[in-house]
Amino acid sequence: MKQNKKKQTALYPCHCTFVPPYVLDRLSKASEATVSQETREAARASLTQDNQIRANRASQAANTPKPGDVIEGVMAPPKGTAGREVYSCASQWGEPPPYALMRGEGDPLTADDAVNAAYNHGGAVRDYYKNKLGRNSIDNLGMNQIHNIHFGVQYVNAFWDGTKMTYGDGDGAIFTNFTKDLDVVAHELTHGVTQHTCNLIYKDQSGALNEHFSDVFGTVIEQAIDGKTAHDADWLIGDGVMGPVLTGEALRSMRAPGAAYDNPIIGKDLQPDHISRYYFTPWDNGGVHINSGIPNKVFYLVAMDIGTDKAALIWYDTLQKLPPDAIFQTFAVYLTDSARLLTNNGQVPIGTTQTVRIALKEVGLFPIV
Amino acid sequence: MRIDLQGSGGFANLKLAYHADTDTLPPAQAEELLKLVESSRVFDLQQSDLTPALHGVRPMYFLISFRYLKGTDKDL
Repeated sequence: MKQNKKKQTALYPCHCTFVPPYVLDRLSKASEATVSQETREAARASLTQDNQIRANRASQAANTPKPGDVIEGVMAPPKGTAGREVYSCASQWGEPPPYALMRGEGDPLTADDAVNAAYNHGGAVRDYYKNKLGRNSIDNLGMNQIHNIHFGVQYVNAFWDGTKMTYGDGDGAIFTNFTKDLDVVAHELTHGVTQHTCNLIYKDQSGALNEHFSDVFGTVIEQAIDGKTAHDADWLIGDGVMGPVLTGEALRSMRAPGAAYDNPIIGKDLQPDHISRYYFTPWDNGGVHINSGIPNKVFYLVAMDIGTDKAALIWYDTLQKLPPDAIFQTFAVYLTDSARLLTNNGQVPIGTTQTVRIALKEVGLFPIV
Repeated sequence: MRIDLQGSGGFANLKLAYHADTDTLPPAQAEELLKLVESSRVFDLQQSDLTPALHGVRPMYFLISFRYLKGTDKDL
């Protein structure tokens, strides 16, 4: 079934089309300078049996759809039905012809684990928002989820670009495939939710709050699917995509911002856990992934007291009310107000407002108007 | 041509860097890189074309600097 070519072309305004593929390829391998080839090969071999890897790759290479391919029996769901659409970028960068749809809503399992992972995790995220928070998909109007997998060559990242998800396959040593980890999918889809609610400006403190909400619902949904409570969850973000070379590390820790990683390959976790240690940097849009550690710690503390799902209710309420240019102090005020409101209507326990104030104080924030 | 490219952002927020001077690369590699730069039409771009919208997330951003010893320099 042919997809809407015109719309697909408009959906992929790549920010990187001017970057030569050769340069991006080198970027994706930048870490080779610090990790020996022997280490990388040993790490890859230890992940699974070598022969099985080779067999799978040969099979996938033979069956990998190319941009523009139409796969028999696979259909995109109607728009506005909160349906899932998983496409393969077939290792392409930039704007190609329409990607091949690998699995649409209701379609059966495929032979590609990454397709199935994106599909399953996308469903878990959609269902949590619907069943626990009453939200009809990303925009609350049934927006379909679009997942583009196998982006580029050994691309060590994933992102939401305003309309769709894109995932790299990782390099197999430092990072694995980014569809593999539920909190990646939940994190990125939550950027869409933020975009369609308070639309926090992606810079400085409002940008850090944008990142924070994505980490919150990334971990909330992962805990829900894994059957974990706040007390037995790991509170780590991105630990599931760490490859064999960085096993045991994570990208962020909500329990202990600043302790997620420390190694010569990706450096040291710079996240602060207190406003007095706010990190000023011109990079990362003013440190949006770094300073999110401060509100992340607040969520952890509140969840440990009243439970993760109850804390999520407060955060979701706040997410819908914040102004786009909210700073941490604004967040503190709105969060406390949400806690008070939800306590008043019985959705969270009495004493929650005080719990939130204590947690905010712990990181140096005071909900004073 | 001297190329300095740095990027960060996305889920992993790795700060990656790539530097090259085509004068010091093997000829075949230098030629390929120059062709890629030319085909990307990066010199036709204006900074305003690339400035990320601050509303909503932008996946990654790159700081790219192209320098010729003579002629046009371009920073994006």
